Amino acid sequence: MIARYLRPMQSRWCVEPGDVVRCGALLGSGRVRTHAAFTGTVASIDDERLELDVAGTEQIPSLDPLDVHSSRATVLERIEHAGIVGLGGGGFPTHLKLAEALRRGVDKLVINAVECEPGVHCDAALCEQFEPEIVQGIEALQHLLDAEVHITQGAATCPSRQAWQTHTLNADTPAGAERQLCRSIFGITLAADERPVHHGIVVVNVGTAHAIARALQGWPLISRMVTVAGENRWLAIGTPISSLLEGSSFRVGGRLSGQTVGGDAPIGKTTNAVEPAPASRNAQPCINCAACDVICPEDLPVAQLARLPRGNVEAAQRLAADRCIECGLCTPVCPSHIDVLTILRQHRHDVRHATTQRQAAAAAGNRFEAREQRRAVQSALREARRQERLQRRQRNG
Amino acid sequence: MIDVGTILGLVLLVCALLAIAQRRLAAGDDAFVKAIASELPQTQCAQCGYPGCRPYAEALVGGAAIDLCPPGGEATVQKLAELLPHNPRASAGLATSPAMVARIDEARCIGCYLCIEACPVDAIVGAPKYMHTVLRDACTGCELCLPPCPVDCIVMERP
Repeated sequence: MIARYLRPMQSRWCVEPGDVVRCGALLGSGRVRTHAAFTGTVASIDDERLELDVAGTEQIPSLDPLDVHSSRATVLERIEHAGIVGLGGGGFPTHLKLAEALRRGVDKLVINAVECEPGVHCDAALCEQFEPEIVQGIEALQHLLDAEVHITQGAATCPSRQAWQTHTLNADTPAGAERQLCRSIFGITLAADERPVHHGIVVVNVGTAHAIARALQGWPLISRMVTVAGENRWLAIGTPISSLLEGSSFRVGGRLSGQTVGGDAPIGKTTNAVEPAPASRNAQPCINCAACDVICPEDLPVAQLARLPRGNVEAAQRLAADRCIECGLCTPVCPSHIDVLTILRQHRHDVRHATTQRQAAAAAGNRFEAREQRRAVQSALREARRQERLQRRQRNG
Repeated sequence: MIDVGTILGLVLLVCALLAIAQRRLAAGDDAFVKAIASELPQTQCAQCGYPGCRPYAEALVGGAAIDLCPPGGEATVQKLAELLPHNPRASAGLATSPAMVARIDEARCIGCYLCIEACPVDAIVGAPKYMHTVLRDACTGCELCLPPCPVDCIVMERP
């Protein structure tokens, strides 16, 4: 069996082809660490992915156990070293999220177990099977952030304690998205450029809390719960989907927001569900029915965005494509079978990419100007000192 | 007949007007340079032949060709053509390359400080005789640190 790992952004591989690695060995480091979930030989490496020829599937913890009440820095470092990212689907590095929360100060910790998408119920299975670990993970987070705990759940029952507040929500898509949670639990409507942390809230998926508890026990993030065609299974990250399901392409994620991937795709850290890919439907021209506009929970001009040709980033930005939460409600309501979500996703990606590039360019320009000024001052100082020396020498004779 | 005094007076007046106009226009120029510079990718790579993006923006106001910026690519050329419709193009097409960032192989770095001096955007940290490292977020991929490195320990890679 060949296990595959995709290189996370701003990270690089730290093994070579031919290296023999044990389960839990570090494969990549940088912004997010990647660990081998199997024992085997590194077969090939390129810029995007690493292939591991699997020899043994037995898993062992590769880090030392850590006390829940260790210092904040130690716990944060462990979360980073375990390679934990948001397992709800966002995939944002958890240590960065928590570090920002600590820097800004938060008073509310939301544990998100609202699984609101059809076809995904891995968190429900996790809550059922791993209650002690989840409680330990939430306690570790509470200790780290010193915030009051809010448990949010939908159909499943999340482990809870008396001191924690539990909110049971009607789990209709997109009830579990963090912007929607802030509104339904605290009545806070986030502005377009705001995240929960700006209001003293940090939202952590229940699977992430479980991964944090396991990291304290010594496990890097090498396994997760995945709903495989309706059945929940605890799987090693890197497992090829083709070893679980028949077919040449698969849908990764839920039935609304899932994406179709090729036959060689692996289970990744954010893969919450896999299914055989649905049959593609022939798209017809848009009939301007505005069904997508009506259903959009973020009130975006979806129909306009769906008609916008890709590459027109300025127009996409004016239409606020970067505010799309990718819930996927717009696609099934389309009577013309247009894959609206994919189009919106592309616009959102383009706008966000352009925004980060613009910000990075402005920062680079400022640093260049600052350096020019610094060098001008330095050379003026040098020149002044030289003149002074010259005069002194002339005076002395 | 117009006497010499009147002519002299007129000349002086025109000179004064020109001086004021020049100062006014210079202020406008500064804003224009800024507007042009904001369309440039700020890699500060000097591939255009000017020592940075703002210097190139200044040269553009002076009439330089609009297609000298490989990191910006055709998109930047389009934007510049809108802002500067009378500037020439130097060639028909512009080769672009994917965005890269530099990485120092820290085991081989001898701490010579040459790359830090060369980096136009202060993206390399370190001190003489101590290991240097590239701040990936700050690196613009200009490759100006590659030639000065005496041990060739800097590689360019995808971000």
